[in-house]
Amino acid sequence: MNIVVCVKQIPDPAEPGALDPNTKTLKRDTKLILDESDAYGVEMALQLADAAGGGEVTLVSMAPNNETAGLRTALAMGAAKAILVSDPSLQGSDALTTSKVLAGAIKRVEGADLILTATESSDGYTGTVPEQVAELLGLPSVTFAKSIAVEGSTVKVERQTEAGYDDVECPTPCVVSVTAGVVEPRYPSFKGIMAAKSKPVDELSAADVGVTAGGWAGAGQEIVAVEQAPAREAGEVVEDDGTGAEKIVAFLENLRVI
Amino acid sequence: MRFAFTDDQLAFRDAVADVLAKEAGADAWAALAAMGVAGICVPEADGGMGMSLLDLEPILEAVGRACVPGPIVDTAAVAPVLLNAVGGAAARRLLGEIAAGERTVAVCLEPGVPVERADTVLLAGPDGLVAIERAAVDAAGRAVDSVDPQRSLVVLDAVPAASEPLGAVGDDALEAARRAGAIGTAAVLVGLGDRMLELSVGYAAERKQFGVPIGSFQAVKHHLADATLANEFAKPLVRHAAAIASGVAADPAHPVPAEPAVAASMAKAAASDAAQVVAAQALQCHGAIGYTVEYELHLYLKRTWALAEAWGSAAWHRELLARRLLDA
Repeated sequence: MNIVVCVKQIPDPAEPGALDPNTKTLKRDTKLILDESDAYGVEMALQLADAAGGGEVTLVSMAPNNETAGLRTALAMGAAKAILVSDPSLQGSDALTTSKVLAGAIKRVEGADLILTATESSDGYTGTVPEQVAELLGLPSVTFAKSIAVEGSTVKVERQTEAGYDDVECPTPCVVSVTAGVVEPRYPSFKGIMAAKSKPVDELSAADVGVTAGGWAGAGQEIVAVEQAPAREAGEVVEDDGTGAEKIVAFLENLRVI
Repeated sequence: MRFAFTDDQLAFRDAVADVLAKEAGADAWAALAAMGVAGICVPEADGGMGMSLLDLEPILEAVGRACVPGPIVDTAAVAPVLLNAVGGAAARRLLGEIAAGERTVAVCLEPGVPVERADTVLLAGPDGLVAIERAAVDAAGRAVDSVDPQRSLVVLDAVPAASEPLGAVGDDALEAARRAGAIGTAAVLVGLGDRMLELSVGYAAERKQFGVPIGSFQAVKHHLADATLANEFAKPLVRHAAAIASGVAADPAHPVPAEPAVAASMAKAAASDAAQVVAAQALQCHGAIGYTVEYELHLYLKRTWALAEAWGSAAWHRELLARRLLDA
């Protein structure tokens, strides 16, 4: 079973992030690491390939400056190879362009039975890329998987909902986005780290995956302004004159919490 | 001699630090074992990485920083030296289990010396090296207290009947094992020192007295500077000893003691002294919170006090060095 996992390399959340005042986007000139939310997809893919008794896990990523540090982490976990689309013309791309790039890269993987993604990245949070990739590839899309099992050419997903979960079945190939907690990601072993150094990373340009109008020019969105979040306002202080409990209930009702 | 670590060594250290940022206690050991920490010095033919003590050294510093309990130095640094020297099917099987992260091993080079409890104790007795399973160790040994309650110690006064003979072990292998124990423990000690300094500097910057952070007082900052100096001066000696033990050739342009025994004793003496200086100053600068069990510093203090004596105290190693000078 061949599985493609879309992964994003993001600035280390442990380092204080900064916005570029010109582009109003996150600065990405530091070392990038594997988005932790993608580690779940990688682990799920490795386990599914293992359960199927064979097949390859291929990573697909878009990143500036030919950055591969995050990909190496996922390769060290056990993925077989990676496709990286890195092109200066893609700087400033919106979610749709990103999806076109990823879909273009996924098309180059022959015989992909399943495409896994996270639900959203930890730095951009649009949460729209998985569905856009599915649409561009003309594949069914299942979101918010909290467990995945593959039986023959059917993918069985428990799909997280607010009230519980839905049982969903879907034919392969398809695109499934996984939630954090679908599986516990493994730590890369030393042997994995050494092996990852020699695993193939296919570096492509935007044109290679058929995207010509990427970056700021092709973005359907514009960041007009970035402002500080308003400072927290002082709360309301209620002296308890015996009706404190009623006031709390009224306050919570007003918030529709109860 | 080149003291900088290679990219691979740094990648391994960072991978270990990532794990130890998330896992603690028994989970930390399990995660490290699964990564292959115990197999770094085990030959590739036995399922290990076939790497050296120099590759293990930065990892042991990271282990010290996180104060991971358990006989990691014995398992990862010392046991492979002995088992590889002894050879034979039983020793190779143990090497394989160490590399797979399935077995912890503690090493005792002479009966009567306290050893940490582990799945297997390797004991060098009069008739060679023997392996003793945990149950047999518990039956034959007597438990002794450690200043560090996370170290569960046992003393074997003689070779128990229920032990598996592994074969004869030469003096060279015993000395190499002793050096690996001293260097590995020294690496853990400088890691402990790093973390104690981090905690102390953080605390001195945060804790205010007379309206200013206590770190602004000379009596505090000079103590911490002394402690930093001691730990930073110990590190090159530890890394140098690990390099010598790993067969890295000395640079003729910068002659430094290249005798393995000298390098190992210098490393352990410096690291034991440094960690005790750091521990004393850390406790002093923290005041009462320093010996509060709810705060993590006491774990580091007690581990330092225990490991400063393990595999030879500073005084013992200095005496070895002094004897060499007198004999020369």
